[in-house]
Amino acid sequence: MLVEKVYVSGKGRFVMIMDSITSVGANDEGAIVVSASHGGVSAAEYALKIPLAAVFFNDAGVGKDEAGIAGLKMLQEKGIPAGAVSHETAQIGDGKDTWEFGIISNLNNAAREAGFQVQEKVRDAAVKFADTLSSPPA
Amino acid sequence: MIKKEIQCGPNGRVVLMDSIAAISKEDEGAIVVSASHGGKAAGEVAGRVPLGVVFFNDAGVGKNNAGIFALTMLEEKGIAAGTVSHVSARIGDPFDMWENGIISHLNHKALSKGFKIGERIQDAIVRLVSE
Repeated sequence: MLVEKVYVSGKGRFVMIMDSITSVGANDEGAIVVSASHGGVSAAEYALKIPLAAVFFNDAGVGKDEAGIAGLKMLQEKGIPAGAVSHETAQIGDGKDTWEFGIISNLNNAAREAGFQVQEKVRDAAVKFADTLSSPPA
Repeated sequence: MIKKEIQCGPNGRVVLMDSIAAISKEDEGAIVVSASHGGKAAGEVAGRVPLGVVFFNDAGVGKNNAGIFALTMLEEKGIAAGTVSHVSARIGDPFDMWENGIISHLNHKALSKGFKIGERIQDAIVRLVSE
């Protein structure tokens, strides 16, 4: 399963691109994570294990009771910016496709306050967001 | 994380899990109902253990049928696999999948086991393990 580190700012901030949020680990603290997992409850539980700068998922068609983006609220409760890309723009389960083609479809309040916008390419938005951050924790 | 065995018939072990990442060697031959999407990443993980049958959530199917891509991957390994519709059951919630999931897609191996599209997943599995 793909896990790729991409440096996106001169301040040492990086994006972790991953096929599955289950790959998130202690080394990812302070990272912007772009995962190709759905944004449901189980996915958010993984994302909450480590304090991330921001995290993205696939909206999985949103679906019943908005289960595909239910994790965004859980991350909001911890003040972590989180969003999803549309399942029609990026292949769920494919981190590379999410990074290259994903268009943001849903955001939590923390992400909106951080400057993310719906309809933006997740890649462009993550790069822009990284520039607003200070250097990562040592 | 949720992983729970369900007793519903004498001829098969049924295991519910919120993420396919919870599978282990002990699940060999089991019928697994996971609340993961049925994409490439899920297919890779599911293919690590020779399961009897495995179900996912179709995640709205989406771009290039990515939400059900695992079904083809598992077919190549001879494993029966299917999905339930993302509007019938909550992705990430295995109990909702089990209670309310309606089968939306199946690979050939699953069709040959008697699963049918449009059927409630629980009814189909109970029938299989009761035979």
